[in-house]
Amino acid sequence: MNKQIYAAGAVGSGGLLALMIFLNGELARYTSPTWSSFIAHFVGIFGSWLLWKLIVRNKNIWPYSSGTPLWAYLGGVGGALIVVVANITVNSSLGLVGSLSLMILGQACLAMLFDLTGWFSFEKRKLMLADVLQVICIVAGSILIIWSGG
Amino acid sequence: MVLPFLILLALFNGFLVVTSRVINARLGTHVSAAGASFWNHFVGSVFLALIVIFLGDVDGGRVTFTEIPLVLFLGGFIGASYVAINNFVMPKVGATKATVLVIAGQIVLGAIIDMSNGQISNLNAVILGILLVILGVWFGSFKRK
Repeated sequence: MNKQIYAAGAVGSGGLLALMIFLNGELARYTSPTWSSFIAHFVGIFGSWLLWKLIVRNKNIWPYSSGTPLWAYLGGVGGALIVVVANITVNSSLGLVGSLSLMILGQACLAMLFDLTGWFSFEKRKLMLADVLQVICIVAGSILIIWSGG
Repeated sequence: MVLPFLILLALFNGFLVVTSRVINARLGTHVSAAGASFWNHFVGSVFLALIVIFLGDVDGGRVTFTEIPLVLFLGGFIGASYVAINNFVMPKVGATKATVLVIAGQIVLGAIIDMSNGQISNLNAVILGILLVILGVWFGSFKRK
């Protein structure tokens, strides 16, 4: 039962991501993809600080205060690079359709590898048949949608 | 650029998405989901500021802030919530589920946005794709053990 709520949260946050990409895409038309990502990240500092202040309050977010490994703070670097790399592939012969399809494929493959190996200190997870079918259906459906768009 | 290199680069970009999310979710187990979202955006901003300073003109960016509609600045707030929710969910359901379910929500809402803007060329294929994605989400609702 609880798992369903987490799953719904993941799907819902994907919807937020689509809205964000739409807004950032419009913003990029006024500026550039990299500038747009910078502005979105910068605004996001205040957005997430506000979220933390309103929801979490008492937990410490400062480095070293909670025995947190330093590398765990560097996730944002990857997130920042995404738009820069996408800017290269989307404007190449791959185009938007090819870039998005390959990105989705890359995400699904690496996520499965992370679950199977337990890298980054998450627990190892076995993938059941239903999990693999889920990945195949969502990846195939998504790529079909991308190729049938615009 | 050569096609095989571009294909690898696009795949690598997908790797970046997952790696970034998994590392930030790991931070979330220490400093809370929203706290990790804060660091995600803080570190990302510093990094992008460096890129804009040193490579700014590469993509021809000419920022004219006064012409930008205010609503377009809301993307950052939405992104902050997305990252926080993702950080909360990922340790509970694992990287694979968190990743493909986010893609499911993203692609279906994205398709609906495109449909409402009349940007879909093959409606039947898009509807088939949405059904496939929904089938995939349903596959995950089976009980384990």
